[in-house]
Amino acid sequence: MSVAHEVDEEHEVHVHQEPTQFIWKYVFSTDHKVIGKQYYMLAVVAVVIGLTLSLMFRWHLATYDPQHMFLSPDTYLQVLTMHGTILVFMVLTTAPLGGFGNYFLPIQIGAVDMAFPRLNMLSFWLTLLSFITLLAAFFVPGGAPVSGWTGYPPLSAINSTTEGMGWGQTLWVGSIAIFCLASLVGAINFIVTTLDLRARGMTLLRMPLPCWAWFVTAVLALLSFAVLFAGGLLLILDRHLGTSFYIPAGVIFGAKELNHKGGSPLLYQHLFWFFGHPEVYIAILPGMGIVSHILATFSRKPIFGYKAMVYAIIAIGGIGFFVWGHHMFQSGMSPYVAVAFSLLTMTIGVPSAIKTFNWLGTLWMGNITCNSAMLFALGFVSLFVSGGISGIFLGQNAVDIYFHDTYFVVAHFHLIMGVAAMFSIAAGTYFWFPKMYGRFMNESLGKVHFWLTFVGVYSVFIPMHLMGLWGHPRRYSGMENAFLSNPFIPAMHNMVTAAAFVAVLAQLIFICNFFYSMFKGPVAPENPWNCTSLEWITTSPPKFDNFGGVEPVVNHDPYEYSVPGASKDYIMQTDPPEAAPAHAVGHD
Amino acid sequence: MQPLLMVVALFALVLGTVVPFIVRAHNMMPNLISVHGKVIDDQIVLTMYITGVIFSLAQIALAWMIWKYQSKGQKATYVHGNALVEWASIFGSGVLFVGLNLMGQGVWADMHLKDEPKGSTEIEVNGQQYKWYYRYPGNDGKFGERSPSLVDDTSQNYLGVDFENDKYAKDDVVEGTLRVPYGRDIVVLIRSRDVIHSFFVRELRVKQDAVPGLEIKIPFKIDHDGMLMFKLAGVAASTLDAKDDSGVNAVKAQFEEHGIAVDTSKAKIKVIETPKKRWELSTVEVSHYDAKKEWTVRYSIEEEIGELKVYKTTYESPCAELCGNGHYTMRGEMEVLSPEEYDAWAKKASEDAKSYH
Ligand code: HEM
Ligand SMILES: [Cu+2]
Ligand SMILES: [Cu+2]
Repeated sequence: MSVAHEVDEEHEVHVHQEPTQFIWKYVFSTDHKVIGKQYYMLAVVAVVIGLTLSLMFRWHLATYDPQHMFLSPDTYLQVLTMHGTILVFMVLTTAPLGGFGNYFLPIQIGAVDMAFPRLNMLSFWLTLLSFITLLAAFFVPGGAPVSGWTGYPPLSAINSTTEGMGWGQTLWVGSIAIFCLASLVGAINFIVTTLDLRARGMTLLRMPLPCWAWFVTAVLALLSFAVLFAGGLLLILDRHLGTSFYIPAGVIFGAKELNHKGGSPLLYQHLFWFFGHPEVYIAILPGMGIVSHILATFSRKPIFGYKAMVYAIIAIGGIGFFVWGHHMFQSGMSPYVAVAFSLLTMTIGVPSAIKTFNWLGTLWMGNITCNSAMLFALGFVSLFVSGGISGIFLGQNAVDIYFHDTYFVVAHFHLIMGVAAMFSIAAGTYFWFPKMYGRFMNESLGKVHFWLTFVGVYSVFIPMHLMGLWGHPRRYSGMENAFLSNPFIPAMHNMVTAAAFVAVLAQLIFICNFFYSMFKGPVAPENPWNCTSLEWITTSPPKFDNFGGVEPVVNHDPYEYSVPGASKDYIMQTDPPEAAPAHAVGHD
Repeated sequence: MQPLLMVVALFALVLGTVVPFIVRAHNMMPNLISVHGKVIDDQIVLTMYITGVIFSLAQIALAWMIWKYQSKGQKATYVHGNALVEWASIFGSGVLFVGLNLMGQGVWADMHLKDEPKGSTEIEVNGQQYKWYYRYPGNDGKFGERSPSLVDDTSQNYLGVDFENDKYAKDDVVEGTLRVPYGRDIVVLIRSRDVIHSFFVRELRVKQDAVPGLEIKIPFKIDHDGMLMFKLAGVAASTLDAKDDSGVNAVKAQFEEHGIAVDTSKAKIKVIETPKKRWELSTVEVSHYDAKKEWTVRYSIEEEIGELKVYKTTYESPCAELCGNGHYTMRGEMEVLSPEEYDAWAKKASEDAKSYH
């Protein structure tokens, strides 16, 4: 009881006046909903740029002719590097967490705002600054860096290693460092908000699964971005202040021995992947939460194994910190350590399998409606399985000898991280758009968008597994004689490129639908999907203080659909306790 | 409508992947020439089968749920889960994944954890932007000293070997081609003088980063005693079936593309697997080598036409770690020789090197 009281007082503190001037209301806003939309829009801009870049290098590969290259080898790698960096950081890390998380975490737990609204604003503006810094790399002398989104030194640590490694690389590291700060600030905010600002009755195990996912994601972000920040800082020191954290003795450039000694290129890889593996879960965990939420809603069923889902999220987050070495099996790190990393990596398949089982279990005996949001959620499940399967190959250190740094890896992480996470963002958008803008998106366009994307992405990435099996190394801009064993490769590149154009151009339908519906879509009621969580008890869009001065009180578990004996087929979390017939209680 | 489309799409996905990945699991990778590679390939194929089943079951289950429980106004059943299912999935997947992993540790130990076999032939593999250089110890069997300060590209001392002062160095051979004997234990010492590269030979199933500041040893042994599977591509079934020379010539051209010269005067060809479609790979069987330098290759097209002789085998070694703008051009060449041929070459090359320095 006393705990609930403290929460109340917290609330008093945060109910501040809604600003009236445009700039404070929409630009430098501290309202979590505005910040959430700002993050989302940043991601939209970033995704357009990032995907355009991918079409450029796909076109290059499809039309490859050594005499008339569409992109020079430098430009190819610059475009590739920026594509990866923009999508991983500016899209997959911002939209699911910064975008949806900011908007819906406080509402789903019944809070009026995030715990630290000003820090929240700071973290968005830092993210924007980081994005601008990153884009600036295109425009400095030498252009963007060529070292890939992983930026391994010594390649990235020394300007003279190759063309385009001057200011572009420095801006890249700078951008990442700023992004780390933004994420750290954001993560603290998410964690404190979840722990301290839950409405009365909203126990941890009554939180909708997206809240659990955002919470664990924030913990991952807090622990991993700090390490990446350190890694980036050391890289800048090596680049500009002559230190040798990553550069060993005896390195030769321009036929001269460099004046460095004592560093280790592997140190960077450890720091990078200590961040990098949790990062892939930062990208996907919110998606898992969102998808679970949508699957339950449109099957009209409680989540199958809610507690197991929560523990699986925590397990994935936890084990995720002890597997980074699977990116380094061939790096020259101790082969004994590789055995340990390999075994731990395989254990992370267990919570992943549980999640898949429970998604299927949620659909089982349901009453399934396939609208756009649900289609994308179902697509997510399919993609998660497909992408996870290749993880079982790559996680085996012996098998990875062959697959490492081939297109097989590219296929793996695009299916599971790139595409699956994008599907969860799309699903979340179709689902929450009515709440965010008070209007529906167009369903028919949504379905066209889904089908072109679903078929398109599979046609892009399934063939890439084959190319990987044939031994096609990744990050190759040219193909002269590359595949002694396989003349099919150019044909495959053509096919993949065609599919990539379909899949990417289909996103234009989505973007048009999005902006058109914002102004012209049919007006949405408070709770169009008959969903149970707290964002649906308030107006669409919610008022400045989310619940119009009323403090919600939570009486029910989050996914009480189709309760026998209840008057409707769903029980809102805030419905009075009597809404559930006495016999219909309990968890698994 | 939507549930039906989903069912169609998911079944198409399963069929479209099962055919290339499961049915043809054995044929997907470039032909294998190393001993340890057999274990890796078997592990890959086994994983293919196991994950193929899991993948298909999961996608079909998804399709089935979508179809069976599509909304027709029914009421969903109120269930919160099932502890048995949870525990079964935990133990099932855990045992399967970890078990699969343990099976692969033997070959990992052979490659990385054990001492190199006695009497191994040591060869240094050196990466630099965008070329590989290989150093052989020469007739004294010892590598000479090297130092970064001695590197001098203009006099072609890329590795900084101390040819002047170190007696062990004088007969060292530095070459742009990796020559290896089959049937012997080989250890490559992998190094880099600038950025990170990666030594990769598909047919060996070897990949290892070349890291500046480190020297990493990888042992392997080439086995040409076993059956070799060459995958000939783009040779139309009609050509292979032809009774005249066009079949032999088409195959010969393919072999040459693989870096294998073919003596067609006595060609004996039989197709074991006739491609049904143009884009399919046709499999050609290659039999044992004989004791001399030459390869006796028998492969088949319908009927025996004669015997093929194949000698010299060249494999590509594409750099597998992004190392700069020329990364895609960084391809080494590995030539497999018979032990006798190798010895003769190594002796001569070492003597030449010694007289030069
Ligand atoms: C079943 C669970 C999974 C396993 C066993 C697994 C295993 C692996 C392994 C071993 C690698 C390194 C491959 C190599 O470079 O040779 C890898 C790469 C990668 N994985 Fe996974 N993975 C799993 C799930 C995921 C998930 C859920 C995501 C993201 C949402 C993901 C994203 C990535 C990314 C981005 C890379 C490549 C990074 C790069 O090299 O650029 N993986 N995975
Ligand atoms: Cu990982
Ligand atoms: Cu290289």
